[in-house]
Amino acid sequence: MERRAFLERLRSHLAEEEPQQDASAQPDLPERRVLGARERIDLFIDRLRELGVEVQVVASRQDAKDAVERLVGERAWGSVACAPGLRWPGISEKWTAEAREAPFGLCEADWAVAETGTVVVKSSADVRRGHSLLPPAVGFFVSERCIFPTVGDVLHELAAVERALPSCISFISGPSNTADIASVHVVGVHGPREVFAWVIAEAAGGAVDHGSSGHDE
Amino acid sequence: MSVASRKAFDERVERALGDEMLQEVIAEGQDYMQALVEPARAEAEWAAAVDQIARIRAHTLAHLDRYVDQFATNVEERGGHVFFAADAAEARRYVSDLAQRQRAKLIVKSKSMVTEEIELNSALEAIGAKVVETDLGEFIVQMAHERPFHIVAPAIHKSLEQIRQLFSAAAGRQLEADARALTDYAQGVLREQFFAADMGISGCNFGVAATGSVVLVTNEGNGRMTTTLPRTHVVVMGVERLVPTIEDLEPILRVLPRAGAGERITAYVTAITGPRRDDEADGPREMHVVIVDNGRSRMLGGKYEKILMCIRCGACLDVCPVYRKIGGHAYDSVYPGPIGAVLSPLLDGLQCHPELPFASSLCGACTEVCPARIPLAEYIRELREDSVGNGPGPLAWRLGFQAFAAAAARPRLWAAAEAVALPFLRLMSAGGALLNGRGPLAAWTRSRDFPRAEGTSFRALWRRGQDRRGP
Repeated sequence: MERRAFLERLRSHLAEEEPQQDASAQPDLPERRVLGARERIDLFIDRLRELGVEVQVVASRQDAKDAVERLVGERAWGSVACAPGLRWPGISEKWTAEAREAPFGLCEADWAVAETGTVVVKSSADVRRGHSLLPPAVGFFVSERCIFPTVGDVLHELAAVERALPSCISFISGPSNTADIASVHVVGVHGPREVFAWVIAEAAGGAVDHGSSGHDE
Repeated sequence: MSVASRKAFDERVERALGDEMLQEVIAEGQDYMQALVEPARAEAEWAAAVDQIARIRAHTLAHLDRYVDQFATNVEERGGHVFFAADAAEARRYVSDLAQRQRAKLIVKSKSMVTEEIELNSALEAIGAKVVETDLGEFIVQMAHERPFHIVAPAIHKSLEQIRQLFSAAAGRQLEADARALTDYAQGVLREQFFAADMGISGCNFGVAATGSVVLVTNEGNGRMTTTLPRTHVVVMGVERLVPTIEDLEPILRVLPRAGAGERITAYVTAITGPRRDDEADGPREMHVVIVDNGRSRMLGGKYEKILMCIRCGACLDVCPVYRKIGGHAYDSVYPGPIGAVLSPLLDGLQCHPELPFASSLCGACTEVCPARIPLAEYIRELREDSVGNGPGPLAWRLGFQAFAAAAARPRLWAAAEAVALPFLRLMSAGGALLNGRGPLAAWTRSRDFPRAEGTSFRALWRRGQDRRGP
């Protein structure tokens, strides 16, 4: 159907009303939840654990890298998929794997949500959608600075850049799961079964700037 | 209601009631969902968020033409294609033509009620494409050649053993009766399909007018796979699925996961805005958004408009005592339960589902739990009114009401009827017994006691009272 005719058909059923252009015509949004920095971080960590995420608080970005290297070694993962900007000097060739083949994917959270234990990842030239989706285990670097109290707070941030949204933004809360077979909760379906997070303390000066994709200091 | 459709409906109900295992599985499923959802509904923020959702949805519908226009413009600006489908046939044709043009042989789908509504799968299969449902529940019902039994839990009616048998037959080997093992089997099969697929088709939980984003709320990851791996992503959405701004998603994302399965949030909420950028290394190269009317515009501005506020959480199915007994398939419509009892007759016409408004006890539990504040029970009652007002109804009804109208307006005729009816009723209910399910009143008396006709009639009492009081 032609766009004009389609819209006209909708219009014909609606009351004649001036279109409301200003934001005041929009429904009210709730007051954002006020949480202190410490409270926010603690809540985030609690919620991640409730979701079955393996969380570690680290003092610096360097500590986070060391922790990842240790984990990869312990698990004897033969390859890792991650954005080029997340790779650091000294790591081997195996960190350039395709997400499809890799047993582990590493990502940097652009934002995080305390209330729901969510990490938010934007797609970009550097960051593939597959990094946080295709490997059976994924890990996230989360700077303390990018933890917001609620999903609404992150949506507020996104609204500020609405003309420049990336093609894909993923809000990820724990491992993939289902209860579609006889209402039995099963963790790990098409998306990752295991999720790790390294919360990087801001005070140590090791945290990345919010929004960067995690280049080395 | 035609006799034939009534009979077919009764047969479906009888089948469900007679299936002991099904009765057990539905009750267990409903109890499971209730136990998950009940605590979430008790949270302090629930009521405020629900009020907001109702406001946002009502506002969007009041200006739907404007928001659809804005949404389409933004999808196109971000490199997506938009098609406006007046009805199911137009939507099917557009997607089939696109699949043919792109020589799409294998199509993966993530869960979408609207594609069920427009019967997209059979259209795509007719042009030789293989269509694979990738949501685990949908995968099961597709394999069983059935319709979804529930809006958010399509295979909730299948027991572990039934699913084991289905999967084992497909695998050609005996699989273990274990949810983990069966999930792993499906995951293995589907992973290959995701990578091999030429096209991915998804629904759309919400579209954001201000950005042209399509938002998907999922748990398994199949939605992300479907919208990431194939070279073309097709979104099929009902025209009412919009919110004005990205911030309007907040109360919806707070309530939808809670109402659907008692979760604080789903594992994935994905906002897709156009196809992949030129510099991006993955994601589909093409994105098509099919905006489907298919009867929805008829509801705008009318007495049933609020049904378009539905967020498809399935909460009304989880509390409905009728759904608990007759299950999802007895409705014989894409949308089962209270939402289906209203939505299906409105989408397809009351003549297609004349029995659905009667598949309710009008207890109002659905209205009470609806997070979009849709007056479902009231709508069901109104649809009953419409169905009586619209058609002549069965002959027995017509004759009965005509006889009642004639007698009620003529005191002597009434008195004569009473003189015959009272002794008859006393005879029928002699000894306080019931009619034992025989005769024309059988449908009523099979499960209810027929009350004993006792004492005197109202008219006789009235006369006596008048006599006592004197002139």
